[in-house]
Amino acid sequence: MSFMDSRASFAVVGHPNKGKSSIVSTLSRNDSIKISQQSGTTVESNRYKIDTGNAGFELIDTPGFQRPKKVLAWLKKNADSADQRANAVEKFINDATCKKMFPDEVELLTPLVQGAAILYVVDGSRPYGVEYESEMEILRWTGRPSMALINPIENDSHVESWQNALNQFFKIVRVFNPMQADFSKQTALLEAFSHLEPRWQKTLTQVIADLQSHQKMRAYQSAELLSTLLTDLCSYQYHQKVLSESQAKSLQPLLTKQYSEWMKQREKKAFEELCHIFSHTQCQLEKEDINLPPDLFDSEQWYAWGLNKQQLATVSGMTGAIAGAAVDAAVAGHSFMLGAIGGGVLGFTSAWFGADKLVKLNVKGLPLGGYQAIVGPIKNRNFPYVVIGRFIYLFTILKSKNHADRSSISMADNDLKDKIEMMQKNETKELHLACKKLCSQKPVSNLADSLVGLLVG
Amino acid sequence: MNDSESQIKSNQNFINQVNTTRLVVFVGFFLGLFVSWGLLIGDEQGRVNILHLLIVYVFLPLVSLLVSTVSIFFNKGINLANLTSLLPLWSQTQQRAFLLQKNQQHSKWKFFFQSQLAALVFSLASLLVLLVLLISTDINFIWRSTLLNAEQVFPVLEFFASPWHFWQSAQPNLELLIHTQDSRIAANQNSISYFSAWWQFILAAQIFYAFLLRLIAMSISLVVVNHFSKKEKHFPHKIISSKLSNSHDELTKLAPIVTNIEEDYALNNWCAIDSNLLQTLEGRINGKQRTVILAGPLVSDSDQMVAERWQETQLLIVKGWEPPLAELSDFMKNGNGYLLPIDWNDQGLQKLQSKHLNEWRRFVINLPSWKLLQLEES
Repeated sequence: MSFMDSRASFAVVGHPNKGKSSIVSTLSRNDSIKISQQSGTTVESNRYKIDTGNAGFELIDTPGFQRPKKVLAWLKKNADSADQRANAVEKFINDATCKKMFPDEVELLTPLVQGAAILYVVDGSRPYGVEYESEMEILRWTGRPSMALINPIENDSHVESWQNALNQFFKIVRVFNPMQADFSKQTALLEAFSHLEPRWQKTLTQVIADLQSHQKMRAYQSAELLSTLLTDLCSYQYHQKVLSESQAKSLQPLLTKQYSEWMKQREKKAFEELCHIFSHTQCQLEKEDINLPPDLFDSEQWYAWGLNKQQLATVSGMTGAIAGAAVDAAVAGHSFMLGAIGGGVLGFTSAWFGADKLVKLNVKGLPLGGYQAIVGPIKNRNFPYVVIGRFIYLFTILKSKNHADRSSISMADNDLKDKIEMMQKNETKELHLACKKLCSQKPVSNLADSLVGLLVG
Repeated sequence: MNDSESQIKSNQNFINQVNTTRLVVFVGFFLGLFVSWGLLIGDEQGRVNILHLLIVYVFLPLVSLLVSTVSIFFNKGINLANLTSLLPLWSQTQQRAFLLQKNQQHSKWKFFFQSQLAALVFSLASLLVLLVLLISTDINFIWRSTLLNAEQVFPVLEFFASPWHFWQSAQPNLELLIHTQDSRIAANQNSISYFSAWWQFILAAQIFYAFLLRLIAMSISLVVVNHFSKKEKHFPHKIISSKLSNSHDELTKLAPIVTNIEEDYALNNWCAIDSNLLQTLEGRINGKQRTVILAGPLVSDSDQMVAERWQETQLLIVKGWEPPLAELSDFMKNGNGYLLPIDWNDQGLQKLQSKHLNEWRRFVINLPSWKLLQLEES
């Protein structure tokens, strides 16, 4: 039997506006579920199948009770004894008149009749009310395994009175705030789910194991993302070829603006991707742009085919060596490779010393050389730490931000000092070495591994 | 493709403006073309040394494959792609692309894969050159050695040819070897047919040692690279929603608020608040309470029926923090009057939160016989 066959299914039910959609959003890690302060936003049951790789479960967001007193009266008329109650509920959801008169209750009771367990949600910041007992009584009639969640929306001042009441109707009662519950509280709740129905225990245990491994995987994915961002921001160069040095200098403000725009966009893209790693697809970032160090502008000469002096000399040297090697081959090796060596040296030196003349040459009106206005790359030793700090700031927020929480994130620079001090000595050394190499545009092997310590720690 | 995947893809496009694989393959192809042309074109008489060909098409592929494979497990990986990235020819953008690749996780496998692909392209270019020259010119395959004779060379060639033992015409033979030994001072008087007879052996050597071997190495490295990239990109947490949109559009129209009742009314304590709180409320209302009617979730059906028939002005008191339910709406459609949502705590009445007040205002706007009452703060 696959995990799909034994998938645990939970219908989140209750009064309107008690945080049902928020609970579904947090537990399914889905921030596209609509959460509104207006009641009656959810008008139909909406199923969310959560596939964690090796297991899965289903959450059903339902509309709130609207006419519980009348529904209970209908049910009582249709069941004389306890053994008929579940059948009466089934009859209720299939009755055409009931569908018309009580559409919300039919919608919310249907998944329960189909086999889902009950997650009944109440607000622990408001006093218990007797009027809730009709709802709880209806749910008891379904005969489904049930659990109550007390959501302390504003505060927890009435949690105790709710617990006293709910314990009489539900097998398990838990306090769960979908806006603030951290990962351990979420997994503890899933563990409590597994006690509702013995046949779901195995699959829910696997779900918890999967979610824990995803949590670690997110840190590694984020480290990989940060390593790409760092490499990109530290190595990016914006350049433009022109004819004279004065033209190159006049381009400085424009190129600097374009360069910094690219850098900002690049960081923004990485932040968006980080949000996606944490499944925060609707997340709004209020971002203060990254500060770039000053004096990033430079100009240098370029020669034929856009090569700089060193590249031109190397190409000429290699061409000379190949031509010389052809001569060596033609004389069947009698020249003792002197053709290749001589050709290489000749090509290199003539290109090195003759390069400056190329700048002034024209072939059919096209220049063979000129100047190049350049902005970047950033060589400031602090810059990688600034990038890392900002990334880690967002990472930390996203790690603890629940999917029901739709507030925007204000970005700020983050001081890495404490984080670095918490790292082991060899890890710190590795990080500093990596940052040094990044500033000099040298490759850093396993850069992500050097960064993951900052994210995990 | 879901949002997340397309987001990641667009970011990759943003980063990888240069395809490094193309650069490495380009280098492999031109190396294959130039080296093979240089070797197979021979001297002015079209003589090509078989032993030189064996160095390039058997020895070099074997050694380079060995070095690149061993180095990937014990080092950062020495291979053609890595060496290509070090060439000082690349533009700033191309250099950045190589740098990005080097700084990625498992980059040495990507470089290894690119190298195998380049070597494969190298062998294809070599095969192309061999076939073109076989068709368009006379290649005279000979061999020369100061120290070795045909009897010593033959077992080595026979060993190299063992992978294609089923291809008889591509097998070396001693007689051919003796007849094709060349000397630069002694004129070779052998028949021309001997000199061209080696071409199948050379073709087989290229196919088996350069092409097929690299094809296998490239396939394996591709599997490894895909495995790592799937591991990095694949995130198994999936949510499948049965419906994308199941919501009402949010209503923005709000009912006006009145602050007092100037007429007589019947009190309807829908939410069953206690008598002390009720007295406090009554003291703050101008109108006179004439009677009490009973309705709401806690009253009996007979009381509810009486209340539902009431046609005079009512003051209906409800819990302000609770959203209005359809059962209240059903009741209000038959009557008229004032709706007073209230909030309280242990200390007494408190101001209704604006989010709750707005909820009631949206509710009352659809009930023209009713006014929303909010008492001014005392």
